[in-house]
Parts: sequence; structure tokens; C-alpha cells
Amino acid sequence: MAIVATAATEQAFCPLHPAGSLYKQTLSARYLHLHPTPLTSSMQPPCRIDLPEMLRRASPADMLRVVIAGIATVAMLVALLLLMAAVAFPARAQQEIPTAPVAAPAAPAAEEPTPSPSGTPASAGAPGETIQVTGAAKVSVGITPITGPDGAGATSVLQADLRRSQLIEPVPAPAKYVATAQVSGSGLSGKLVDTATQRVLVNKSYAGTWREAVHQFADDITFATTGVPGFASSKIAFVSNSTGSKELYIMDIDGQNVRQLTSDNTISSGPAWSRDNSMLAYTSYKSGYPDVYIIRLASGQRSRVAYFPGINSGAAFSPDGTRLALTLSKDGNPELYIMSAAGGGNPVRLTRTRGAETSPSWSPTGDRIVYCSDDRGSPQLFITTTTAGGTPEKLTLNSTFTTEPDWSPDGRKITYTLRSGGVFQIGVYDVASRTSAQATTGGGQDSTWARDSRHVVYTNNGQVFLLDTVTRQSTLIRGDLKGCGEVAISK
Amino acid sequence: MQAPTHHPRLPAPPPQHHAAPGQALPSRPPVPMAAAPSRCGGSSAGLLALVALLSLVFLAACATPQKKGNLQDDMLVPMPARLDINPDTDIDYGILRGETVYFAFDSSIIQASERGKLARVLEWMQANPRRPLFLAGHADKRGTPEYNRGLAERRAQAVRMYLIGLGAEGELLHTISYGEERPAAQGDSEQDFALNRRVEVGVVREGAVQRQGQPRS
Repeated sequence: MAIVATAATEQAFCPLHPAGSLYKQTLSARYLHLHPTPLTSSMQPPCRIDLPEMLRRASPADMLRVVIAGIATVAMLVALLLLMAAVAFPARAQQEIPTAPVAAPAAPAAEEPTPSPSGTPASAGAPGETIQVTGAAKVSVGITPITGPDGAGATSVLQADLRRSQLIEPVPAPAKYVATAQVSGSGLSGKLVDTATQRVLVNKSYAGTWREAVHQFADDITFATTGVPGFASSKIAFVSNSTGSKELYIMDIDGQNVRQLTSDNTISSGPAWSRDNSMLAYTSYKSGYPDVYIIRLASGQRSRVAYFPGINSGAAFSPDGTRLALTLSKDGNPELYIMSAAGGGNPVRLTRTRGAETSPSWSPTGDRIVYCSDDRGSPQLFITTTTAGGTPEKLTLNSTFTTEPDWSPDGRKITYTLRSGGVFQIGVYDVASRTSAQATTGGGQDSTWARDSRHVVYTNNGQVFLLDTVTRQSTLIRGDLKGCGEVAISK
Repeated sequence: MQAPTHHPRLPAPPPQHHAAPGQALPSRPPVPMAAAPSRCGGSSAGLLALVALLSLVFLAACATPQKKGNLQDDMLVPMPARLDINPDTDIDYGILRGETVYFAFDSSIIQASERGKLARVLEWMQANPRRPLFLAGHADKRGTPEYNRGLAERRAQAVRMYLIGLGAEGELLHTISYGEERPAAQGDSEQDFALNRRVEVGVVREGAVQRQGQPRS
């Protein structure tokens, strides 16, 4: 009985339904129920309905009509509810399907030894226009000893660069392909000839230090003989706490020329290259807050581009270098946004969940992003569009704990960190076949693709490694580095 | 001497921390309803109509869609503008040290054992009005740094939403995430990891905020 009065009182608070019938009464009660913020008492009811009084005055016919109308409305609502349930539950079931099969094979995956290198995870299901050469069929390139000052050093760097590609076996000339070069004070001039046809494939002068020049010559040889972009001239950005605080560094692919970029005595984290390799975006707590900065490597100029309330982190350049995808929590939860790489403007939010979205990586075409979200409990990888309103698609992977995705330059693969049996390892996902494989057995995390979409650089126990995802061989890049993490190789 | 299996300040491991995230949020305070005189007309037809009416209200409430993966914006409480302070130096984590909230592995759900601490934080806020708080999220070192930064921020935001649910003013609640970068315990034992999965509640030092408006690099 007290409820009767409550219903009437509720109606009095609702400014939208000033007068009327029982039907409006129910609407007003519903209105109130859905608006948890109490309306202020200053909103006086335009007219007050006394429900019990109304009920007393109603004729039996009126009452019957009301009852029928009420029952009909309830029936309609029940039908609507059933319809919604019918729509919602199969949809949810569909969403859950990928999750279930992942959980089951995850456990045995930890115990089983990694399949032999013959099952190439990288090339599976992706017949390519690029040449996929495994250890058995390498291209022989004859190297004539490089002349000039530092010629001997340049020769061995060139040989190491070509060997590292896994596609080329450097041999003494003569061979089908023969490389010759001279080091001078201003750089290096190099030439590559196909001796079968006498065609000159490369004939170029490279400026800079002889090391830089040799790396570029090696990449030109690799591309000319195999069609695959070489990565000898790539640089590795990484974070190390060897000074006592996390600072940013870069080094060459062979571990030479280690250069410290920051000396801020704070936390510097998560470097990411622009596609033209002229800029690095990273997170720094220099202001005391986690902000995103961009360093222009040529000038050393540094600018703070994202400093919204909450975290600003995990920035990744769009392929054209004009935009950043990153994690912001300014709206009250860590979500993915896209903003101008110049800073300013209003970031566009891509996601909205109860979880945290982190580590975006762009597809090479720039229309999609792979990222990590723990909205469904443990962190999983998703792909969504780079415009707002996309529907995220969950990737079915070989672990229920996967983070730090990186999309390959050829668009076909995504490398990521997975947790298996309590140990973190590097995984490779094939976009076309939707299959995933574990590429390391000795542990690893934070992997990023080299230019050839075959090698990845990653860290393990504070050291930096190069992994060939086809042969699954890992090489320590430099033995004396300590406390390294969060690597990124330039493209 | 046998080490205790649980740190005295740590919560017991939750039975199910894979329940729906956000479940730990307190339900909204009930809508205050003015007490009304109880008068009753009392015919059976009227009762029937009322039953219909009430079930309608009930069904309407039930029919409100509970969106899971794609939430409505009104669930968000935007962060207040940044204070022009340096969180490294201008925040005192000592005052409310005892109310540090601990979390299960890879979880940002506030466990029942931790809720009393947040009730005490609210009491402190009521006793010290207008004092802004910093909720500093942390993670243990397992996993990748970037994911841990997101997870630790999520923990700080979960504490923020819980306090807002209790009635705290969102404008006074700032979050900062340190991810795995600032562990409370340096070791690699489960015990150490449990101490590192936390949200510390810091108070902005008096006087620090008055320096607002001075440009910072």
C-alpha cells in the first residue's frame, strides 16, 4: 500500500509528464528509475495526481480497460525482452567462441617443444611476391675486399650484414653477383654486377661514416639480389636503466654506435619510430606526469605532444607520419585515441571498454590498428579501424595472455608477446591464415619487425636479440648491454 | 622461522577475479524518495492495475541494456584538469599509506578486503575538504612495461570510480600510473609481487597547488 503513494510521489517529481493518465504515470515512474540523479526540489510538479483517488473514481469499465491495457503492455514488453534476449545471447555466444578453443591448447603448448623450423610460420598460407628463401637456398654474392682506409673493417661489416639477412651467403669472388667498393674520406662508392649478364645492378656513392655507408650498400645488394628490403642500415631504439634511471638509446643493428638520447633522470619508455625514421615518439615522466614526446633525430629537437590528464603513452606513428595512435585516460579510462603528430587538436577516441587498451600498431596501409585490451579479463589482441566507430575483432592466438603487438611492414604478420607456462615468449600471427606460432623458447618480449618482415628484434633478461622468425634462431646483438627493454627497430 | 603465507596488509586471494570487470564498483546510491502519506483506495481491480504498473516499471528497468564491450559515455567520469605541480615532489604518500589498495595478478578489481580502506579515504576527504588526492597505480614487473602502465592506470581509475561511487568528488581525484617502474618491494617472490600490485593514495602537499599558473616545461 505504501508503494501506491510512492508511485504517486515519484510522478510529482517528473517534469516531463505534467498531467494525466495511468499510462503517463508509468512512464514517469520509469523515467525516474532510469535517472539516478535526483531531480531538485525546485522542480515543482505542474500538477499533482492523487492515484488512489483516481482509482476510487474510476468506473469498473475504466478499470477493465486499464487492466487490459496494462496486461497488453506487459505482454508487449515481455515479447520485446524475449526478442532482445534472442538477439543478445547468440551474439554473445559467437563472441565467446574464439576465446574457448584458445584456452584449451594453451596449456599443452607450453610443454610441447616448438615445431622444427621447416614449418615456417611466417610464410605459411601467404604465397608471396617477395622471395622466401630459407637456409637451404641462399643467394651467393662474391665480395671483393674493399679498398681504402678501414677497407678491412668495411669488408667484414659488409659480410656480416649480408649474412644477417639470412638470404645471402657472402663468398669470395668470382660468383654470379660480385660486389666491389672503395672507402674514401667522405664515404663509400659501391658497385654490384651480375656477371652472367654483365648488368650493373648497383652503382652508388654513399655519404657518411664508412659504417653507415657499408650498411646502406648491404641493403642495396640485398634488395637487388633477393627483392627483399635489407635492414642492415636499421637502427634499434631501446630503453636501459644502466645509469640508474630509464633512459632512451639508439644503436646500429650490429650493436655499434650506441648513443644515449636522453639524460632526464626519470622514466623514459616505449620508443617508436616514424616510418621515415626521422622521428622517435616515446613516453617520459620528465614533467612528473607520463607524457608523449617526439624527438627529431637530425636536430635533436624534442617536443611534448600529448599531455592530457591521466596517462599519455604508447604512441605509434601512422604510416604517413602525420598522426599518432596512443593510449589516453583523460576521459576516465585508458582507451585508444588518434591525434595529430604535431600535437594539439582534439584526439579521436577509437575504443570504449571497461578494460585498458594499450600498445597500438598500425597496419602498413594505415586503415587498421592492432592493439592490446584486457577488457575480457586477460590481455588479448584486437584489430579495429583507424576511424571512430569500428567494431574490434579479437585475434585467436596461442595464448590467453598476449600483449605488445607489432604489424609487419608487408602487412602479413603480427608479432607479439605471449605468456606461456608463466614465461614470456615471442609469437607470430599470420594475418591471412589466422594462425599463430611461438617463435622463441628461451623467453622474450617487446618484439618489433625489421624492414624485411622476417626478422624481429626483442629483449630478454635485459638484453637485445635479433630473431629470424623463419629459422627461429635468435642472435644476441651485443653482449655487454645491461638492463635493456622496450626495443624498436627502425623501418 | 616460517614466513607467513600472507602479508598482514594484503588481501586474501580472491576466489574469482575473472568475473566481469567493473563488478566491484559500488551500486549507485538509491534515489532519495520523499516520504509520502500512505493512503490506500484498495479495490482488487486497483490492486491488479498496480501490479501491472509495478511489473511494467520492473520490466522497464530490466530491459535497460547492459552493454558489455561497448559502454555508454555516461559511465565515464572525465579526469580533472592537471594540477600544475610535479607529482614526483609535491605529493605526500605518507598520510594515507595505510589505505594502499592491493590487487590480484592482472586484475584491476577492488577486492572486498580493500573496501574498508576506501571508506576511510572518503572519511579523510570529508574531514579535509578541497584537498586533491593522487591515486598512483602500480603493477608487478611481470609482463611488458606498456601493458603494465595501462593496467596500473586502470587500477587507479577503478579506485577513483569506487570513491566517486561512495560520494567523493571526481574533481579532487587525480590518477597517475607508474606501471612496473616503481616497485614497493624489490624482490622476485610472489610476496614481493603482491606488494607491488597496488594503488597508493597520495595527498597533494599544502601550498603546492597555490603555485599553479607558473609554466612548467
